[in-house]
Amino acid sequence: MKPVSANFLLNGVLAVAVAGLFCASLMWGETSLPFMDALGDMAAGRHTANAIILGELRLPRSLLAIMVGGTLGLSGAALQGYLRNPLADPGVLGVSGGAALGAVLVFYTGLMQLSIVALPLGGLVGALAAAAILMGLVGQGGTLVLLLAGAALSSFTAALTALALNLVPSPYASFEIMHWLMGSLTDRTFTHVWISLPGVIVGIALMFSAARALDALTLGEDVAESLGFRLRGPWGIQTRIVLGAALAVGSCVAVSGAIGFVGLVVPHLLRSLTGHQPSRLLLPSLLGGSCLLVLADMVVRVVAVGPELQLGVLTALVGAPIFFARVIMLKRNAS
Amino acid sequence: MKRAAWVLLAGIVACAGTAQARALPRVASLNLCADQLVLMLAQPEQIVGLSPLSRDCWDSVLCEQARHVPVIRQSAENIVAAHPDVVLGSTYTAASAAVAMQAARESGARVLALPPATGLADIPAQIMQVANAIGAPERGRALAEAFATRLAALSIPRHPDDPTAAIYAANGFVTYAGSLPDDVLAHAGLRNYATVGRHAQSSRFSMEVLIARPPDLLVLDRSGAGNSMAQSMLDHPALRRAFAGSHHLDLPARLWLCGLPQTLDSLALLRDARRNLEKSP
Repeated sequence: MKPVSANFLLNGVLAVAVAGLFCASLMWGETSLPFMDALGDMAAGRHTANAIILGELRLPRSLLAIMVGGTLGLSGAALQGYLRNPLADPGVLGVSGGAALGAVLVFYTGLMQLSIVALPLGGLVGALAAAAILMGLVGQGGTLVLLLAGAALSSFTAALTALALNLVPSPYASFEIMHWLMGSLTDRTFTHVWISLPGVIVGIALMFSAARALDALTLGEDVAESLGFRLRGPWGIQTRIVLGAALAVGSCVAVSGAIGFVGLVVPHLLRSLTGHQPSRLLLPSLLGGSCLLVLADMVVRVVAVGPELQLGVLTALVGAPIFFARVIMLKRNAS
Repeated sequence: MKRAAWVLLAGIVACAGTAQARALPRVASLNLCADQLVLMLAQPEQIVGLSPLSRDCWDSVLCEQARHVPVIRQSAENIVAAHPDVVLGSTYTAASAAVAMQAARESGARVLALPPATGLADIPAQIMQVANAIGAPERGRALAEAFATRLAALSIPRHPDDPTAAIYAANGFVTYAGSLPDDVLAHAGLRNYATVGRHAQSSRFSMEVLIARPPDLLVLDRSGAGNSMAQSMLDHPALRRAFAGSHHLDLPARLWLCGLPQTLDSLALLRDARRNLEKSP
């Protein structure tokens, strides 16, 4: 089988899956509603109960699941390609944690009342700061340094987020630590979609613009530079990947909280299907991340009776076993 | 001689005056609801300290008045050091306040634990309980009588066809049966949505369920300062659109957080809302 046509097929299947899951998540919910009637009411602009449930509760939630999942999957694939390390992921590296901290500081102190862009801006600043600290800490160090720095950074940002939520005046804030550290898409509105959309589009475009350089980087930095790719500098590959990931992840985390493991698991699952060429992994990871998150969100909505499960709990339940499997495989290969 | 007698008499009167002022017991309160009753019934110089919550205008209807009297932190050490004659608390209370109440009891103060009011009928009794404990029975009687008169004028008899109302609070919690807001609804001629129909047991509703099977009136129970996702849920555009105009009422939670004479203001607001419902169904 030719790799190009196989890749095309994979992307097609994933795109169809995203579309199918999107429709299913609109139709499926706590209450059963006549879908076609609701769609008709919505198109005609009538504010019936069905149209409101479909258009203002389920639609923004499903759209956000697609955007956030896609962003996390793509940033995972791009960061793994750039760092040439299969364990890189915005969650593991502390970038999502930084974004959550920035968003929390803006949301609970009331800065958000000043302007609607304050929330994604807070997420972006947090994500960029975390990425900058990470890069500064790692420098020329290897995998071990990167993982240690990431673990330190993510637990530190989580602690600061919890501290900030304990100190703000709202009596509910300390109960919402879970939302920001684990992530959730409950009761989001279209405002949240518009808040995160620009950052997501720009960030995704930046990451895709570095696709070919990622292939060259598999041969080492020197080879990549000799092939004509600028790695450092204002428009270098590093800037584009880090800025793109921070922009997209920051905007997403600002509305959904830090959802873990999607960016780690999705590229891993798809890598065996696309072959080991980072640029081919980008689009499937985007689509696969969307699929996974829409699916997880549907499970969260329908399975949970009583208080709703946090979305991040479910993705971690799926994601952590992948880590276990990797450890076991590593040991088997070594012996 | 005559003049000396006058001086003596004046001295006796003055002594009696100060003696009476001294006789008023000094009061400390550890509970928001008791705080507000004390503010209405006691002389300001009687008050040793109220709980810090009494100055929070989100929770307390008398927050402005509370700024003119001292507050006291709810630790056993603080309470015992202040030497109050009467300590007011609640039967349901945080561990620190319970320890403080026990310590006050051991140091010789009179401790009164008020149960939370579960109906409008409890309120006059609680007013009298506090009034007697702090030595202001006349003021208490006047307040309780005014309350009873206004309650009789405001309440509407129940009817099985009354419109339904859901009291929706942060995080999607609804008010259950047997609470003070539930009783206020009943007096306003409204049936509590959380107690009728097939969803009688749950204390929490998602927005989707609420919109799919809507109550006639949605009462948004706003509480707590600051911003949080729990509170911003009440401003979701889907709720605003599904419960437009007369189907929605904003009600500050401080009115019925405690059983107070001001709780009748919430009854008046709900009565008006019900009248508007009938005008434009």
